[in-house]
Amino acid sequence: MIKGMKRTLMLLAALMLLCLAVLPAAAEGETTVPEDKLYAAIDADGYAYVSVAEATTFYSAADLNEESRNAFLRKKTTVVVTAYTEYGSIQVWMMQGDELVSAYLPRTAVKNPLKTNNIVSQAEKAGLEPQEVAGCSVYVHEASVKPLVNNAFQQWFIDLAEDFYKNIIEYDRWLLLLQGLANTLIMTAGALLIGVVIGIAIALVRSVWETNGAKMRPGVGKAVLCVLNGFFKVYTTVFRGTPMMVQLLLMTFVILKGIPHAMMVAVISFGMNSGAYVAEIFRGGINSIDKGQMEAGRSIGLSYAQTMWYIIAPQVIKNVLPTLANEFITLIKETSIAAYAGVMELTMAGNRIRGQTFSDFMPLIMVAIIYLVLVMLLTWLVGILERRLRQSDNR
Amino acid sequence: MITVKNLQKSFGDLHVLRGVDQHIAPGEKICLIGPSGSGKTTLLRCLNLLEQPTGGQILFEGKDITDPKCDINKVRQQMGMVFQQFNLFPHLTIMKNITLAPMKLKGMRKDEAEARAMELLKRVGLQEKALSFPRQLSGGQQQRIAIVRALAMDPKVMLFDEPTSALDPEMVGEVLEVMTQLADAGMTMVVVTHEMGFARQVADHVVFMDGGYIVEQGKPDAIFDDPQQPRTQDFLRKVLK
Repeated sequence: MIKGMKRTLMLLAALMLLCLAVLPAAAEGETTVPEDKLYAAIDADGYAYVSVAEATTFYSAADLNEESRNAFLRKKTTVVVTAYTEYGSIQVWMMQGDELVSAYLPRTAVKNPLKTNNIVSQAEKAGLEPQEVAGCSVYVHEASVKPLVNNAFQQWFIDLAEDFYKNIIEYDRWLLLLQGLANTLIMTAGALLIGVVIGIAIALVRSVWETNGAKMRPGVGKAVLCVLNGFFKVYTTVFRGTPMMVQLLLMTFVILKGIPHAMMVAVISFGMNSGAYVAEIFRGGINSIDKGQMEAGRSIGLSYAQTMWYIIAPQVIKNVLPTLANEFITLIKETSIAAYAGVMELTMAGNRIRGQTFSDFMPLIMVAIIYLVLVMLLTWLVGILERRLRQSDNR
Repeated sequence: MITVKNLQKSFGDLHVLRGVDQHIAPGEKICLIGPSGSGKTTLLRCLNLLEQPTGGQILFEGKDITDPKCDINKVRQQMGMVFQQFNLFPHLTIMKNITLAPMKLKGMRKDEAEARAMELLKRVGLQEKALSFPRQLSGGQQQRIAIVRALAMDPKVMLFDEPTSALDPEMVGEVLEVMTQLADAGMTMVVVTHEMGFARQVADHVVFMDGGYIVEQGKPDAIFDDPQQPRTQDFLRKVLK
């Protein structure tokens, strides 16, 4: 009995706020419930509850005032208590007359109402005897009754599972996270592509200018290279010298205001920012290749471009891969600020769930876990690629 | 084959070559010797325009290669070069190091290029290293591969830039041996070297440089046994001691 009270109090506390809003104040221990919202339930101890509408809370029949209790009893509800679920909730089938009024099957109840219209016959088929409890005919399916938890760790785990259910499974909220993840990945991949293209272009121009600019014969080529080099220098300085957030907002609300597609703007914005960093990575990579390699390539008759492509580039890629991977990882995480530009990416998806469920822990921790898994996956893949590239280092 | 006229090269204020004239005939083996900083390596690197001369002319088979209109890549295909630091391509196997240029530049088929490479590898005794990577080879082996890589383009002249200076002493011999073979086969060679024994044995012509000038040149015997200039005498006394 004490156990039952405890349970009741717990459930009561959970919906106290809601009750205060819905129900007029009553004397302590007495609650008025509109008749059409009343459903009956009973637990395995034979303790009767009254369910209010489709809410998940149960009131003890003793908590009701006289009027409500009578209304409840008038309903002649047939209650079949089948089980406690492992999460400590009560699984109830209820009949009112011949009609199934509510199958309070926690979690799935909303999505999967039972089709059967003769619970009683099912219960009797299962060999259950009706019992008279608080004016109701009750079938107690004792075989599947599980004890409620009474240890702190178990309770913590159950709370966690419920939290998980509420924030991730219920109403298919995971779809929201999935969509956010997809957008995050699309943005990262798009930004990556733009970043690498811009980065390689800048790195090539700048390192060609650095190594060859002074030696070049005056002419159009030299002038173009000189101007490009200056432009890219400014580009790198600006994009590395201002916060990504500011760049994103500027792009969204000022520079690319004309593009209505928020994600496209974000991809361009991240790509341009990433380009500045990738350029420095590649420039460092090109500079790290011994200049004898270029000379050897040129000395056998390969052109500058051929030497770059066949000799320098493969070595540069191998050298910069780890650094590049770090940049990519940074990029994945950095796209989270796209939420401020109205992109429904992973972080925003988590936030939206927070708004729906008023939970903070579960949505945020799930988002964090997804990011972490993503980053670890990428790190692992890059590791494989690196090992493959390291073949030529065998001794 | 190569004629150098009043060649000058300066790096900023530093005049490394102050007017060099030299003729290299087909089949000739020329050794450039001299103290460090004398300009011999710069002269060699000017011959295939790895250094852009600041003055003078270089004629290769009658064509001025310092002319901006000249396609230097075509010229370089006919001039092999071997570097002090080997400069093999570390990301490619030995076979690919050798076949890259013939396939990309001469349009040779893969099997053709590889057959030619194997033939050359056999000549330097390294055919079993075809599928190794450069770092798996000793310095001497790498330098022999570097020579093969240059030879794979069938150059008309080979330029050697101190090819044995970066080698452990016990590996100098194997590289010099390959070079001697090459000389005996009639290759035109320009060699910057500190190996006086090699110069005396192989060279047709020895050029002593100092301070950006050619100080003295002639037959190996004349230079080594009877140098006329005081600076040549001084240098040889130091290195032959």
